[in-house]
Amino acid sequence: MSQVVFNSLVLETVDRCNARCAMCYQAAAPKGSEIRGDDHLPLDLVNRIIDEAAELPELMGDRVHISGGESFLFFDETVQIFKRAKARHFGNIGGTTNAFWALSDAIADRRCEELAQAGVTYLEVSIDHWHKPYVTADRVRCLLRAMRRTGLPVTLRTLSSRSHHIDDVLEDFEDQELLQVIVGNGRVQPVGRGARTIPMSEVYIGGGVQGCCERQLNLTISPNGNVYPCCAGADMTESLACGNIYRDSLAEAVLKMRTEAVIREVIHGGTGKLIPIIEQLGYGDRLLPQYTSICHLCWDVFRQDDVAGALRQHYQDKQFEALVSALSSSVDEPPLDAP
Amino acid sequence: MTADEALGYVEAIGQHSDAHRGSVDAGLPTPPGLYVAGAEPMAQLPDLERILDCAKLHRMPVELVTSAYWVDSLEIAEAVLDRLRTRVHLLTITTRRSDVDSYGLAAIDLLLQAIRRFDISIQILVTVGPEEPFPKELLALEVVNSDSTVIRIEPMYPNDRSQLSPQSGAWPEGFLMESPPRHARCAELLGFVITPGGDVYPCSNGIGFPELLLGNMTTHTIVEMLDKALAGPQLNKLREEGPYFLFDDFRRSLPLEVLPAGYVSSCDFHRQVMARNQQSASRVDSTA
Repeated sequence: MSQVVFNSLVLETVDRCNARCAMCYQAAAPKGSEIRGDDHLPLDLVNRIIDEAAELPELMGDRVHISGGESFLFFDETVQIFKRAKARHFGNIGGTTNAFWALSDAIADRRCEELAQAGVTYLEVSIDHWHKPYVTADRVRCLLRAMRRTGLPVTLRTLSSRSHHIDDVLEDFEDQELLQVIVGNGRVQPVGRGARTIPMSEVYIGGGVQGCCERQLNLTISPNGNVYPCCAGADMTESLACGNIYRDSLAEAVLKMRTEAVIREVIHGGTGKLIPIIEQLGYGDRLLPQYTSICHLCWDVFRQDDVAGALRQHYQDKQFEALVSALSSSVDEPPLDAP
Repeated sequence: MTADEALGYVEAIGQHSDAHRGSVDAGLPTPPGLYVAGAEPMAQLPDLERILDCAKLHRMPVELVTSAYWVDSLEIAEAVLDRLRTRVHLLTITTRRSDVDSYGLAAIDLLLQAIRRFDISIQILVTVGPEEPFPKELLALEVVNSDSTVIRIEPMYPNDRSQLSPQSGAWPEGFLMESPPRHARCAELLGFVITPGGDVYPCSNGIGFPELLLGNMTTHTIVEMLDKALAGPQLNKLREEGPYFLFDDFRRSLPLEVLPAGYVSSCDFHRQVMARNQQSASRVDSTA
């Protein structure tokens, strides 16, 4: 049986965000996620998650990443979480923010120092065409300058579409503001709020739905406590939740990922392999004509509870048949020492 | 460094890694990543393939650094990548303003187009300084925007520091920092860097500085050099905290006017410190 291993622990601590970006796959907004609701992981629960994660053999490496919504709306609490991760000997600690809190150079300097002291080793800063109406480039500039002075590596997380390239976003930045910055660009995906607001004609399609995600998994806890194998869209479905941290341990949730047939197929086989099964089960008309990636397909299929339920039943039946077949063949075989 | 020497080094590291697989005492990740850089590794493709085959045998993930200017057409790029596809995991394309002005962006564009068809990750490393402005037209390329792309923007080091200070205006405001970053730890930058001739350093920015020299592949064993790296209190402090602690020492021991005037990075500061130490040592030697 293939192993399920995770590159990092991702804590989506809040649904709320100061922005309401059109492409946001989490549909985050000031009053919470328009899809998921308005939840917030309490600090004592987050501490327990980190403690459990530190002992989890499936978590490779030592990375803890905090995202939201916008977790830096609760700056002091987020700092406490970073401190807990450092205390539990995670060495690669950071988070994603839109930089709204970098109000001035002085404030950004002070807060970056506080973050570094708390154990933060990097930050990812979201900036793109869709963030522009909500967070000014000046805030991002302040944060980039402060991070360079503090010595914290920074990745600018940008998104592009056919009409909105990253040069539009970064053209106003001075060269010296971008020193030691990593620009990590991705294609905007028609997922979450983006599915309503971004037309498919605007989206880069990419390589389609080939391949699987077994090397890209991140153990993800959503603000309502659900546990997921990734943070790339699966976390916006109810049907791919592999437990809830309010009632299950992390180890129990991971066990479900390792043993439930449909989740194993998604992780190791790839979501693309589900397409003929979905058609065979009579839900072919629910599929879109085109998907931009396996993540887009995964989200679109598993957000539909009836399709997800039919898939789960199909794979459970297959698992049961395989078990019966294995048992009957072992009964039919004569013992080795039989005459 | 000849191809045979490089091959010997990779084999030696590979054997060390295999012998210590999974052990916390290995001193290196097991398997370690192999970073291949040089004038243009693609210029000697058969030799490169021998080295990469050896790395593959020892299960090393490989990062290959190229200028991309060997790419004349999409067909050539695809043919080369097809030969490397099972051996290279990350291709880093390096460029700067003067390269773009001299050669254009066509070669990078073609290489990016080709690499999208293979299971190889890609990043672009752009070096930026006052006389090498960021070639922002790179960001407008369709191929950069149409799929995942990583662009690292690294500062140039000043060639002539005598005219430099953050106040002098020789470099635009913001390029130089008055003090090195307080929390820029070296951990992520450390490696086992073998130079032509076999000298080994813990990072590429430390090449040529005796105080960071770990040994030589011809006269020391890998274990000896790793032991030296792991046992050295200064290197451990650099790993955990970065070189800022040296700045405090520096300020205490030297008058302000002899402090280097501004740094583009933590590594830049550390190199200034080591260069000064080297000068002092040679003065002591000549006096003796």
